[in-house]
Amino acid sequence: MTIAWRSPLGLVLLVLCTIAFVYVLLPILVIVIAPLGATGYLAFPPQGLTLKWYQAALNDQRYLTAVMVSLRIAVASALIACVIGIASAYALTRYEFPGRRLLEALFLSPLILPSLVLAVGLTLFFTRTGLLTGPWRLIAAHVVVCTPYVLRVSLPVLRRFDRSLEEAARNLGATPFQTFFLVVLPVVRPGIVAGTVLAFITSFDELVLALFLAEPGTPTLPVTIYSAVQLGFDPSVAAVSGLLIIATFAVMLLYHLLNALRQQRN
Amino acid sequence: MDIVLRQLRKTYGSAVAVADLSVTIPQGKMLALLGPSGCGKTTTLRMVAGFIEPSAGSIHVGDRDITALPAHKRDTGLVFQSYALFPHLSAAENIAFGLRRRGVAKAEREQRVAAMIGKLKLSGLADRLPRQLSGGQQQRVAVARALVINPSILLLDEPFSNLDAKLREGTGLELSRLQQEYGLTSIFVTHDQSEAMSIADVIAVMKDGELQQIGSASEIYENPANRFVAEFIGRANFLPGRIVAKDGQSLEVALDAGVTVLAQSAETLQPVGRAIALLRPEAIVLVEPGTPQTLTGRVEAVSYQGATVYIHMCLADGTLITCSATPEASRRVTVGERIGLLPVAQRIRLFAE
Repeated sequence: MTIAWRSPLGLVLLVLCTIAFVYVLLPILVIVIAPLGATGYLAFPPQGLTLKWYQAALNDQRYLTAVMVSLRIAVASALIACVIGIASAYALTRYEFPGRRLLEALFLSPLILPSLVLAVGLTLFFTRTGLLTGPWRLIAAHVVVCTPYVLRVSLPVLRRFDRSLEEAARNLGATPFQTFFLVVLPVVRPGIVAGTVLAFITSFDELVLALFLAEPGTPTLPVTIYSAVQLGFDPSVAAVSGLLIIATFAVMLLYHLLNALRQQRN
Repeated sequence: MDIVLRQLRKTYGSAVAVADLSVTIPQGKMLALLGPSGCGKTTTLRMVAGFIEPSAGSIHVGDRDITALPAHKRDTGLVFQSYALFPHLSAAENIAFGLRRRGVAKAEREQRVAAMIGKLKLSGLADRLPRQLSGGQQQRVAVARALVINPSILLLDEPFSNLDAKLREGTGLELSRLQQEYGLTSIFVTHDQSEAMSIADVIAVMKDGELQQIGSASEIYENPANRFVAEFIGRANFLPGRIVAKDGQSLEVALDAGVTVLAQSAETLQPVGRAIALLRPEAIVLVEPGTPQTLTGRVEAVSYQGATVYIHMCLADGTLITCSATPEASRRVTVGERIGLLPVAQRIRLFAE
């Protein structure tokens, strides 16, 4: 059904949509614009125009180190979550075994488990057992919360996957292993990429687990921003967030451009 | 290589999908597994391909027992109903897939793929992805992919069901020509009797997991083993009656419709008792009404099919009957007219009621 926007209902919808979009997008805009102000505190609309807060953020070694720490942890967590997620999604969709539904629910449960509970539990677990050291404790914790995202996305993709493709590959002489890597993975790749990106983002901006489990001395970006905010709200903190938003937009733009290019080539 | 299925059986719990099927397909012949859906034909094919493990029995190709072999070691070429082309690979890469798995060197691989592309009239389409091909082209890629590996046997799972009627016949003949050229022993699964009759050497009719009859198209059409086969293959008129006498191979039947005819039966029937007679449309000759030893029918409809014309008639007791005639003969027939129907004795088959 289409509604003409000139009709009364259309006008109401238009207003509602505008309000919703403004509500969602305005904070992002504020974060990007506010650090442009010259004042030593965050003001909106900004007074004066300067890039010094952005410069300060870029020059602050703490943030740069924290971004690298977060990137490393997010990449490692996303990749491990990707492998575990796909393997378990494959098993859950291909094999019928007792407790399959229970296992599926269990795999997805970190999505509904408060991260504070998980953080406390894992902290106790790691200090008691002394298992894992350095960044691996946080990575392990992030894998727990990231895997459900990969699983969530790959389960329906694998369920919809045409089984006869696997059979065709087997029939042509591919071992089960080759079948998985040469046929299943390439075909379901878009879904898996989406799940892995979700996992990456989840790990990258995760705060609670990082507060409890990050290596002392090398805090992740969310932890660094969090402590900076607690110490005093200097506009360079907002500039860091602004930079992240700009970087995200740049990546999205690049992705769409590449897609458009590829479609043109086909 | 010939294919031998020995006492092949598949059960799911208490449900029997295939019941002790024993069939031998001689080298170079094509067997059609024919039956309605759920008759076990696809299960049988999938057991031969190695996708389903038989509950009992064995499968032999040549002198090799392949029952326990995993699917990828069976060396069977399978054309899927949905074609199952790999969507991320081009037509040429799809065809080359099996050769790559067999470690065929690049030069030979490219040459064999190119030969297949030429043979199946796919030139110019080699670099297209499956979704950029029409249904008929996709089907030819699927056939090329199965043949290029020089499989020891060829399996076809309803390969024409997604093609339109006109394309179907041409593709069927093309496929049967290729199968003969390669001398491939084949199993062909279908629910379409005309498809089975036109391209298979031997037809196995199945129902509820059980083999009903196996034989050439003409054997099955002319001498069906039971009423199910008679009904499933070709058009059939069934007229109930009572067996009154037995004379050697022939049974004398008094049809309820009013005439007494001689009939043969593949079943062992008691010389006295109820039975049902099969009259194919061409086993009834149109004659002047009132001729002795004929039935009288009123013409309900005339259905012109080109080479044959089907005349649908209603008997005095309300039974509907269809007979075939040449277009010339059918021109003398008008709807509503009364006609005499003479059953041809040699063509009548009898079944238990």
